[in-house]
Amino acid sequence: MLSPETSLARGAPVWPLFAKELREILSGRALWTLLLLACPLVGYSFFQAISLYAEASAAAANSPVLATSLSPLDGILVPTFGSFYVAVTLLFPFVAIRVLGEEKQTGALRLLVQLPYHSATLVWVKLAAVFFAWLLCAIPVLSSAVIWWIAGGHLSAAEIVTLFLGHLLYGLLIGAVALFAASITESSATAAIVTLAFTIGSWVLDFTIAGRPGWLEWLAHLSLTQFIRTFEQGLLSGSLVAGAVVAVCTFAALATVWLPPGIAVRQKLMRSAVCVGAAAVTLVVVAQIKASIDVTEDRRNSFALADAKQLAGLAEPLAITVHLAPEDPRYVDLQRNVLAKLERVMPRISIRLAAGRQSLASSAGDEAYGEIEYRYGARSDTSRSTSPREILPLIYELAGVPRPAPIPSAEFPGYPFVLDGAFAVLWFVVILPILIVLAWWRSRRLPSGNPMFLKEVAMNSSTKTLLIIAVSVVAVLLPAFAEPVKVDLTNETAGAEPKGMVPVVGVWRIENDGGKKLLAVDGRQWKEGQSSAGIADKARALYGERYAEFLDRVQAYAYYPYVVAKDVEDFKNGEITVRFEGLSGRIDQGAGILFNLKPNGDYLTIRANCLENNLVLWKFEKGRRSSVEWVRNTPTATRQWHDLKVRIAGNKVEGYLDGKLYLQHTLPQPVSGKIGLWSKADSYMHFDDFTVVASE
Amino acid sequence: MSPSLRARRRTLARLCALTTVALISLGQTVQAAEVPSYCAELKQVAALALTRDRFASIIGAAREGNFLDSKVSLSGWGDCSFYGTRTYTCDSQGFKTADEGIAAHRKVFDEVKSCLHGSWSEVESRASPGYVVLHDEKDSASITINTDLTDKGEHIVRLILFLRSR
Repeated sequence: MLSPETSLARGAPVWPLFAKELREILSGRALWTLLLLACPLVGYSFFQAISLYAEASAAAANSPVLATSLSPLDGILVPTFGSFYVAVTLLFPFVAIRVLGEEKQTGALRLLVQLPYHSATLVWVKLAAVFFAWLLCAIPVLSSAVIWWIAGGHLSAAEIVTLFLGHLLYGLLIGAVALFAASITESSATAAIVTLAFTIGSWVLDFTIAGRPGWLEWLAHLSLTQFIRTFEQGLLSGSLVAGAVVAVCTFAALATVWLPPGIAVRQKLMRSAVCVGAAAVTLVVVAQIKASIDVTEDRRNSFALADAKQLAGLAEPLAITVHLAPEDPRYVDLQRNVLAKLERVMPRISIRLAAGRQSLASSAGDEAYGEIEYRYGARSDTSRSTSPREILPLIYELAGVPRPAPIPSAEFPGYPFVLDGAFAVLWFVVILPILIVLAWWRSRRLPSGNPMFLKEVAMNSSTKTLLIIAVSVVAVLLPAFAEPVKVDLTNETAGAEPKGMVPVVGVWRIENDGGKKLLAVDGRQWKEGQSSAGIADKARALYGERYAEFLDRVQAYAYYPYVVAKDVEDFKNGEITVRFEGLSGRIDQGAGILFNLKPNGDYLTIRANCLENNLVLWKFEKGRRSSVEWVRNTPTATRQWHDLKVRIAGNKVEGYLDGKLYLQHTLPQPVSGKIGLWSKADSYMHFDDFTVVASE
Repeated sequence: MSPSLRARRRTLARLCALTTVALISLGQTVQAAEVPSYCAELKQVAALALTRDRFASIIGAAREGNFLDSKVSLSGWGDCSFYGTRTYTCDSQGFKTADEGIAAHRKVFDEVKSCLHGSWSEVESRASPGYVVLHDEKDSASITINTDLTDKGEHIVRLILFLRSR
């Protein structure tokens, strides 16, 4: 038998309530402010994305191989939606909080709960209004996709829908958290702090502990940034979508519990515990959902069709034991290139990190470190490779099945497209903001309707303060999203000296390696003591009027080849990374990151050596070389790519090889000077992805 | 002393002498196995490194880049040459597998130590897998022995002898 309240609630129409919530949102300034701020934010990201995409497309005009790497998902959509993500994270809570916070502050909530609606109905209608607000906020980012499409750029419906769904779920989750925060707090300001603690705390999780071993890694999985990343990779994961829906429902249920005034806190706590318990159980269940769809056109999350079919037919369980730390780049490669794909396609697979998810630091001395064991049925084998080209044949051999013949399928052609960004600037800086202001003005003239509900809540001082805080937070945090400076070689000419780097000593040139341009140092042709061609002009370009001293030193002590990054004037703090491969060299196969280069030619370098398996911090003063810190047993195989990284903080120097910290040293003076790349003797090396992230 | 007793003593003395000769011969044989066939040339190059004129007397014609021919080659080694005027280098024969290369590296290291015993010593603090360093008594020259992978995919051992101070 239904209670009178239930029957009343069932009969009461929901639409007026929804309309009232919409008017509440539209009448406030938070939504419009967010929209206005999102315009330049999204516009700038979109402009940057189409500029970089155009550069890459121009370079790919004569290279079909390079063209295949051009996907609008990665090049345009993900970076543009990324800026929208920032706006939603920092500003959308203020919009969502408004649908409940204002009513609590003005006392209208007490009247609202007396109406013939369940608390749950009230919360779900408010959540629906939040969803509508999010859709409005998405106008700038959606307009960027429309501009791209109208201009002739390629868009994949499946990719954009998946990406949009990921951001929608994220927005709803933020909205639900905001509603819950507003329901448990007395003021909008406190609710905003609680919600921002949740969203920014999620960033902190992502930035600080992602990739760390142990329970920190588990904690990092709660990061909402990680949640979005799966959708950005074009993977529609059943467990992730279901998990997000469960999380949204949980926060909405919690808001329902805490919404009605006049109920004892103890009772609310008990109900909340039931909600959280039910959510936890449901999350455990949905985590078992293995179904996922690779929506990308280039099938980046899947093996080739023939391999996928063959692997899906393997009936025995496959157990993989990985002797790598989770933060090791090799593990990241293995996870992305092999394990994630195997998990998607094989019915019975278990993956385990050996030694209790050891850390890089604790792996030193472990001879098995780097090995990956594969056990299929009663047979097992070990490999150190992270490439499917080597791992799949190994699995086929264990399973006793032949390697499948390739199934003919359409190759991903890539979508190079050059678009002039002028219209985008006009749209995001002028036209769209004007339209938003007009809509704002129009919204303030909406009919008032029921005076009890539609009492216009003026912008009070606390809301203004919140918006100022939000804008300040955006201003402060935006630099954290600054793109690292990466030396782009796509526009360089193969066979010529690099334009983005200044060769000072040695033979440095751009080489084409299978369609990709790389920086090479070729010591085979170089005679010791020879500085690079046109060194006087180069010295002048680097040091202006003070070039003479630098030139003298270089000409007197041209014993070690090096190039200097043109666009980095003075590097003091941050990270410099580069990938390198030793091709040949009888005397040396050295690759170093040069830093602290002074106008007198003195400098420091941390270098790896494929012939010596050591990592050394060298000091060069007046042309004289001396070792400052020497670390041995650093595996650096020749003819393989390695990652070298130098991290500087004042006078503290750290050297990493393949993601592992090997070298730490404190210099007598803080680092300050130009940076570049270094080599030695007859080394013939390839360099790529020279990236500089400077920090204060 | 009876003739039979003298005969026994002579026999015993001969046996002792024969045993001693055999042991000495065996020792020399063992030692000969440790001292490599290229020891004489290596000693010659190592000795030149410590002279005033350094390697001038054995440097030959210029090759490509910074390499120069060498007039002295280590027996059994290939492509002995100079990089500049301060660095002498030779490559071993090629091995098919990395394991064979590593075994050869270990063997060469033992041979070089044996050859230059007393005047050169290993610097353990500089050693890494597949890479060892020896310094001479005065620390004015170094020998490094490392493994490498050639263009043909062969694993080789490389010996480099170079002057330390510039």
